[in-house]
Amino acid sequence: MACFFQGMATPQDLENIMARIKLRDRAAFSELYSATSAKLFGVALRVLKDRAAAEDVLQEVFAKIWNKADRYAVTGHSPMTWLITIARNTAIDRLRASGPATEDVDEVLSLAAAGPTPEQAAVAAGEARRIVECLGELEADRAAAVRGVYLEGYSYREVAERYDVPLNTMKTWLRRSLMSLRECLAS
Amino acid sequence: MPGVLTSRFDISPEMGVLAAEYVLGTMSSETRAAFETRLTDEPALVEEVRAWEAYFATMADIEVEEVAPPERVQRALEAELFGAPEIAVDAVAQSIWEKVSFWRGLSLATSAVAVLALGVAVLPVLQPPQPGGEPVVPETGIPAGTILMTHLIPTEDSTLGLAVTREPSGQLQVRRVAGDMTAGRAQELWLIVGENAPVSLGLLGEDPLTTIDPDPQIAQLFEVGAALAISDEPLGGSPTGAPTGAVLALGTLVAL
Repeated sequence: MACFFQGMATPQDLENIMARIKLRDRAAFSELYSATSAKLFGVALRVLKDRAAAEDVLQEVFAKIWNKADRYAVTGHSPMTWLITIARNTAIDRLRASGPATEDVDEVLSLAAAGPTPEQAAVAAGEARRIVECLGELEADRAAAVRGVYLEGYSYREVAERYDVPLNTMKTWLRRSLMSLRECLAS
Repeated sequence: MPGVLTSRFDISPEMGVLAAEYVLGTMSSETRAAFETRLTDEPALVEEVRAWEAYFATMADIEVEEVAPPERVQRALEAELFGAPEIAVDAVAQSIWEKVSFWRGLSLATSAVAVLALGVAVLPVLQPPQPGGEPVVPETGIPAGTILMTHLIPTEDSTLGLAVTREPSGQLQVRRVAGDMTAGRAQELWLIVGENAPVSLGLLGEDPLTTIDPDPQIAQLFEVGAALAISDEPLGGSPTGAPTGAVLALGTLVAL
């Protein structure tokens, strides 16, 4: 049975599990599910706000993980980044069933950029946490708009309506917010 | 510490923001298609996209609460990806019982009719139920010298038919009269007495006639009304000791 309890797996544990899943190890897949399904279900629920739809998406997400495990290493992502990106994009595709798909980059690209070394990956993972700090430097409603677009899957039009500003104004806000975030993250 | 976004790559802030919008999924489909064309020949842009993916996913990892999904999701997932062997065994066991109880009644009746047509006295079996009395039930235990036989009739998706006789010595003669072996699969013969679990009698051979000498403990389980069944199994027979594959043929033992 799964030997990792929910949320207890370290990034290194997850790396090892991903390597075993790539070799079609079903026990490893079950461990990954135990370790990460609650986080990924939380992400899907946040986007969809509907348990039945989120359950469907969670199943689809783990099927993708199993079927695309060999693609994971190419991204250079940490396991949680890869898993959450798949979960978030799959949930958003469900939300906008008729709209444009938010494919994973690897759907589009055949070229593989050189992945980072483990040291670089660790540095990157630590540094990625600065996004929260940098969001804190934006005005509160602009940070909320960025979060709304990523976590709730709002379109520009929806955030514009939410904050009662014209669509083009919202586009400008968001682009300026992303520009500020980028400067903060690069500093 | 240098930022992930600019430590190795040098792209304009405008392109960086486009990469972020690509990750957020806010582009129109035309803009998106054009951006994807650029991605295929600008590795630095790919890195920018991946950096934004990592930043936003990390935000979600930190800020989104875990919610335990119901167990049915994992069950459905494993059934989708791997099939569900445990459930399949239960389903076969269930289906074998349904089929046995159906065929037990039917084949007793048809065998009795066939035997009657041959002019053999089967009056004790054919006596109608006494008014208000017990229904006719097959005898249990076998008088010395009795030969038991049955025809195993194919189930819905099967063409397999066999004739089985049990000699007074306990030896079974199993003759394939219709259908064949499936390459890479085995056919296993089971005895089902009353409500007991199926007991394996062995695997059928390639030849039309298979002779089986069950162990004495198993041989003494045979009785009128007991069922025989053939299940489809992996080479070497059921790995669990119970039928795991489809039921191919079924019949109920009668005394000759």
